[in-house]
Amino acid sequence: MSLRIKRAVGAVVFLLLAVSVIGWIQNVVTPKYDWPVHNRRSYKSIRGAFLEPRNSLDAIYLGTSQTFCSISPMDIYNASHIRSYNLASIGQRVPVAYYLLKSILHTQSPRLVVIDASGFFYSEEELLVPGKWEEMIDSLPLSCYREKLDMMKDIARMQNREDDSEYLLSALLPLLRYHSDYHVEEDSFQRLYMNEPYQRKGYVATYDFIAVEEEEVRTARAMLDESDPYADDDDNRKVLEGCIAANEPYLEKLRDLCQAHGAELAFMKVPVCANTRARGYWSANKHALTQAMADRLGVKFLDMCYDDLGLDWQFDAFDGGIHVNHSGARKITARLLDWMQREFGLSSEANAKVDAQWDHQSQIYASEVEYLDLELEHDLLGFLDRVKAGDYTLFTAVSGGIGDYWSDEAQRSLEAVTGTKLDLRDADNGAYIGISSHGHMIEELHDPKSCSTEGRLSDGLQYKVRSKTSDAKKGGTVDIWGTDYAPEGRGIHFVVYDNQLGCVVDAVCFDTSTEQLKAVQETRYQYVMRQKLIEYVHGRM
Amino acid sequence: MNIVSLFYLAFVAVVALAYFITPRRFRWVTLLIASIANYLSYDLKLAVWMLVTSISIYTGGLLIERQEQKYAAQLKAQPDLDRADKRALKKQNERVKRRYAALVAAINIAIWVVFKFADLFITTLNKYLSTGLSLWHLVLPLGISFYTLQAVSYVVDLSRGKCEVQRNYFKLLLWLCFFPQMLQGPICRYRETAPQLYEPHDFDYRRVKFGMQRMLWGYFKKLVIADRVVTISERVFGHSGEYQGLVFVIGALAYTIQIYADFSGGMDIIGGAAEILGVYMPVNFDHPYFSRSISEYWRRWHITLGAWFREYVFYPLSISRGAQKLTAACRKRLGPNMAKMLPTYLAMVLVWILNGIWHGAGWQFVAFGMYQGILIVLGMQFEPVFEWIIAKLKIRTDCFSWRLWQMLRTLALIMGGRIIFKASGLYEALRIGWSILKIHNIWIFTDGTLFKLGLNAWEMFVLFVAVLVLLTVSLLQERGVHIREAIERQNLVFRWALYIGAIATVILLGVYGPSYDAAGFVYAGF
Repeated sequence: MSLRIKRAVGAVVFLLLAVSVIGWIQNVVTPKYDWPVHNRRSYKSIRGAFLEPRNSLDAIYLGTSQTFCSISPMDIYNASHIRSYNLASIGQRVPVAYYLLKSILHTQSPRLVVIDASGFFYSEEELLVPGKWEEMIDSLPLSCYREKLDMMKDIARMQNREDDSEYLLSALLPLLRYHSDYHVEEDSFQRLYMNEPYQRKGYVATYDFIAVEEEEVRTARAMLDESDPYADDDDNRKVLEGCIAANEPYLEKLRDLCQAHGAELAFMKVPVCANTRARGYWSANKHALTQAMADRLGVKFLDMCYDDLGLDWQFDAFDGGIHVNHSGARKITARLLDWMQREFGLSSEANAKVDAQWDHQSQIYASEVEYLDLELEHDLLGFLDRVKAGDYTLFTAVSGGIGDYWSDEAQRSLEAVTGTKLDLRDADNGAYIGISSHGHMIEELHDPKSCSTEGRLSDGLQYKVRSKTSDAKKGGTVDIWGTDYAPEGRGIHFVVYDNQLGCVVDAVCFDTSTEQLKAVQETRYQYVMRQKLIEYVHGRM
Repeated sequence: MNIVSLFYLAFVAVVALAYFITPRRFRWVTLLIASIANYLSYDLKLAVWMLVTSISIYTGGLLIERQEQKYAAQLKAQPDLDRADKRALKKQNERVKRRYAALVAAINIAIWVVFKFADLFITTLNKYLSTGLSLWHLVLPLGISFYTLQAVSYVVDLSRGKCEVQRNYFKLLLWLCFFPQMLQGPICRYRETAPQLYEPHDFDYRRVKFGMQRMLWGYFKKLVIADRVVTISERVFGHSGEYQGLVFVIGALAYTIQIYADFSGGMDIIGGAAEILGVYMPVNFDHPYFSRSISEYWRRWHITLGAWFREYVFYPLSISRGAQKLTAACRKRLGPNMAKMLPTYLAMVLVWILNGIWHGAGWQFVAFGMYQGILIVLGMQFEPVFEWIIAKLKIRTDCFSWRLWQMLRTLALIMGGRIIFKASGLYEALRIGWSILKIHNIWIFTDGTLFKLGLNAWEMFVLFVAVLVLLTVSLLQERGVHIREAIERQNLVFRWALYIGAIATVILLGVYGPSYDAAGFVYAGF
């Protein structure tokens, strides 16, 4: 080989190597957010939509975080075989929704596009928040380079940064924006090579239940009434009219885009229970303006805030009414499915290959949801039933005495789950500790005043458990690997250790001194559990 | 076009590609088109001033050449002239050529002065004579401070017979606006650079590789060091009211590092880009912070500017009629020693004042120039005294510790100049100097103050390591090690790992991109 050819080959190889390294650096440093850890929309959720088999989606959902917490496409699939995807994102602006839809339409041809109306009320200034755009630009695959550039141009124009060519270029080279941010998360590398569709289909399953204050429930409901006495400056009709007018051009573009691709556009509003702007309230004013917009554009509108879905804001709220948790999402999803089938006759065409893939993912989704259901269970008997069905080690500790409302039924359930023969209502058993698995008691202690134990199970699990009658607040402790998971409170504590995942998956205290047997959660286990669950799900995929 | 941008890199790549595929005789045309496109990309309207300068020196050059031809014809026509007549004719010829050169130089310097000092002049008038004139707010044409000096050097060199006239206007325009050097120099002499621009260069793998390596090194200095340390200097000097004592020393040190990394980094980018195209720019920096005296420092810092002032201001001033008269007067009144020194010192201080003014329109720049001039004069004047003290104290001067002391002492004096240069005004510079002398708050090194100057611990660490790399490379170069050649001798895996590591370092640790308000080049502002 002549020197010239040798050098040319060397230069090309070097160039390829350098470009690969730069590309790798770009992938690593570009943020890959994951809700709710970063309070940003999951990169995986958006990117997953582009990995769906071509033309396999029947419906697309757009909207804000309220939407991605409320609509579970996999639940819809399980109930109807309709394949859909939730492309909502945090504080999704209508222009962003438009570009997301435009991007996904390269590979999908849905028959229905449903957009949540909460994003219609961002003011002209609020449309400008660059972060809301940049997150989505970075989540889109490079094949959507036109949409990426168009989005960047739009946001640059709105910010008077049209001449900032590097900013525009950063749509394709996010490295320009993030090279020194070092947003390298633990699982960045795992997500780099994401090449499988995403089993949650853009839905974000949330697991806490933080009840809405009674006062807020009352005022939020009142705001839905036209004679709303609680409407304040936030709900100023003129301001809201200005907001929706600012979004109208993009809503029109959205409708035209749908029409051009043979899809039907629809509006919806998922239920919220909030009474301030910061918390994303919904009101009669907003409803009326959205309805008027829907009429003007000739689209249908489903406002679920006015529907009786059986939502219980004590247990179906994820964070005090702004979003619903998985329990609430099920109810909303069922309502939306019903509406889509009735109003649009939406159904799915069978596709054996795609259905097989969705069925496989449905199983993975079910195993994820199984854990969520356990966490969301706020009924004592229901909780014991779920524990009985799983491969768990259950730590039980009574704090401040068992109280007056420990029923026969509860006693029988506990016996069935743990295999105990002791009656917790017996005064001698005021302090009680039980460690059981699969209906067999491994270790059990009781004492009128206090008892404690520590040790190591056969799989190496280290524990330290204590029960005291004298301390009503922190009378029960369940320490596993050096962390006390028992929540503060009187009653009976349960800490559930999953033998397969190898971590705690639930920690709850039922207050048996009150008739309601109120459940109190401890969430310290959740971070480790999420990581283990990701590994577990990844292993199954 | 900002030389710290992907677009500039792409531009250089495209120009290089176009250059090497253009037929050899038209390669200079490719450079001209690229240079004009580059200039116009900055400002279309202000390009007219570049046009005026290029036409003026082109016309001046032709007039000087015509005079030279006329002189030759006169000599030919009158072969029997005696020596005195010949000398008179030659003198007459020189005078006419000088006048042409002076006229062209005056036109161009006048344009530069108007653009640069109009507002300062009006502000001064308004202040002292209450004239109430409104400011002009003129925007400086790109590179005017650099290309004006180049233009002057061309006509003066022509009048002195040091270079040949360029009869092709476009070739002259190319020399004046060659795109890599447009932003911040170096100030090129026609006789050194122009032939390289007109001569067609073939693709040379090694030269292109070296050029790219030099550009990469320049980006490292500019993006990783200069644009990072600028946070500290801007913080300290931009909020000087909040600080005192040694914090200003840190600020001055930061600015000293910044301005070197910024300017020399820029030179490396420019020099590297030119090298790819086969053009070697004159050296502008020779590790100036290793200098052991201020005069040595100025021989190693912004070399082309110093050389320009020496050749076109200092020497003519030193041998001018006024200087001769002054020497004679001094000899009468102050003795032969003073007669020898004083005119030289005065010329030197004047040159340094002009040097200061070149840097900016403000009294602090005048003071900056004077500070340098006075330090050099004092150094020369007291040299015998220092030598006497060294001899008396039996201090060894042939060892590292002495050289180190000289370097640190020079660096301290340079930092003093930097304070005058960077402070918001002359009074503020004096206040800062006084604060350093008066307040010895040594605890700033332990109480966390350093981390409140805009850079966190990680950024400080990156800066420290980067400066260490710069220092190591500079030391090796000072010892005569040719880094690029040394790397070239290594194994392929090591070389590639080094190159890719350097690229990754600049990409990851560089301060650039839309999330940053990266500092522009300091010298581009002059």
